[in-house]
Amino acid sequence: MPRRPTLLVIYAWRGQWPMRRWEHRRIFAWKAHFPGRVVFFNIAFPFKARWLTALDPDMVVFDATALAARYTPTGWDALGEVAAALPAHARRVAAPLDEFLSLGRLRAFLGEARIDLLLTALEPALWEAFYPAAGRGYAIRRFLTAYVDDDLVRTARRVSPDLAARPIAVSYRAWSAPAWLGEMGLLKREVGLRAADWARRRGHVADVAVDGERRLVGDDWIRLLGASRAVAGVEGGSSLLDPAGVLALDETSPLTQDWKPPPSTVRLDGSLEVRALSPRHLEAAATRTFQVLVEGDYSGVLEAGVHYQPVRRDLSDMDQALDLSRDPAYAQAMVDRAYEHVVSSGRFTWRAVVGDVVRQVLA
Amino acid sequence: MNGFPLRLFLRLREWGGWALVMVEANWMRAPAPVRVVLRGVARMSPIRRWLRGE
Repeated sequence: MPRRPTLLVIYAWRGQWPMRRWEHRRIFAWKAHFPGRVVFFNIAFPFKARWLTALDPDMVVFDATALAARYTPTGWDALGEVAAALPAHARRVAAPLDEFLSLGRLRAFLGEARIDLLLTALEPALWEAFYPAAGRGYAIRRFLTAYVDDDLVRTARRVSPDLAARPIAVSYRAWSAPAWLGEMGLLKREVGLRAADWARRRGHVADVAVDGERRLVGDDWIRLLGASRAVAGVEGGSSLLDPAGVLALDETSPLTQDWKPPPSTVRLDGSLEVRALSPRHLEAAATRTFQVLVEGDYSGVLEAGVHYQPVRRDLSDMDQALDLSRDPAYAQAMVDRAYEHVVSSGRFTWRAVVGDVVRQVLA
Repeated sequence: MNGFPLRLFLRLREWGGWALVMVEANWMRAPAPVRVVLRGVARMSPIRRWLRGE
């Protein structure tokens, strides 16, 4: 009988519970769809590296939470220990997020850990700038920040597909974005405030919170989407690049008027801005919620005017876009198209992407 | 240790880790007076003896 392959998933999690559902799925979706044994390993707790050597995995995935350990000296050392303990034949995959933070250390880790495949949320036009081909020993594959899982589809099926029956006109949540996200961070806040203002002026019900208050986790967020006709949004990402890692631990509030980016950071303009589809965009498609989003590429998944209603970056046409959410035929057609594309097509599921990655790595 | 015993140990480590994650998260959310009481309880000698199995 052929031996079942073993996958080792390295992650780091401590101090916060519950997790957001997309964070949980990024780590644990491998178990549902890997064709073999899966072992999870949390490096946020003390460990002995020899356990990993003895485990003898065939494939190792470094989740974004483990790679975020690069921000601190202790975490960096832990990552190094793990990488050094892995058997030589183990195929290594890295799936970072927030690649604009501590980019220097991330690149160093990819080389030192002899990563075979980098799964990046960056658009291909930025790959050479972030990961120069010269001296790059790993393949790169585009990887979304989140994918659709069976649980999401089941939960989303419980909400009403009929937009007109939903009690909330527009909803939105944003955390208190730190100053180091730059203009992208400010936009995250502003788009929610404009949506709330539209609802107030039109006499509609809104459920908007932009400074991290009324945080929703797990299925509560899905339920809010399911009760909302429309949701506002913008791509995830940053307008600042931090190769030296000075921003990762900076908790400066975006409201600090005199905050200046440190000299080692790089301001990204226009096509160099780091932007990507966020998990909430897939979740809103699954719940058939009309998305009013700042125009963008959305990782090539969502198309403006087809799957979401675009607004200009200055938000000057926000009112008109949100008014369209009250046109039953127009809005229903758009959310049905988005659902068909994101969910029914099967292209953006964890099942599909895990299968693809495993075939690429273990071939 | 390798094979099944190692995988079992790592699975138990995971479960213990998640239990600790939940406890720590709730600890951090507890109001300051509650945290003071809990810290005091943890120092009580009967608790320490219990933990030592005496």
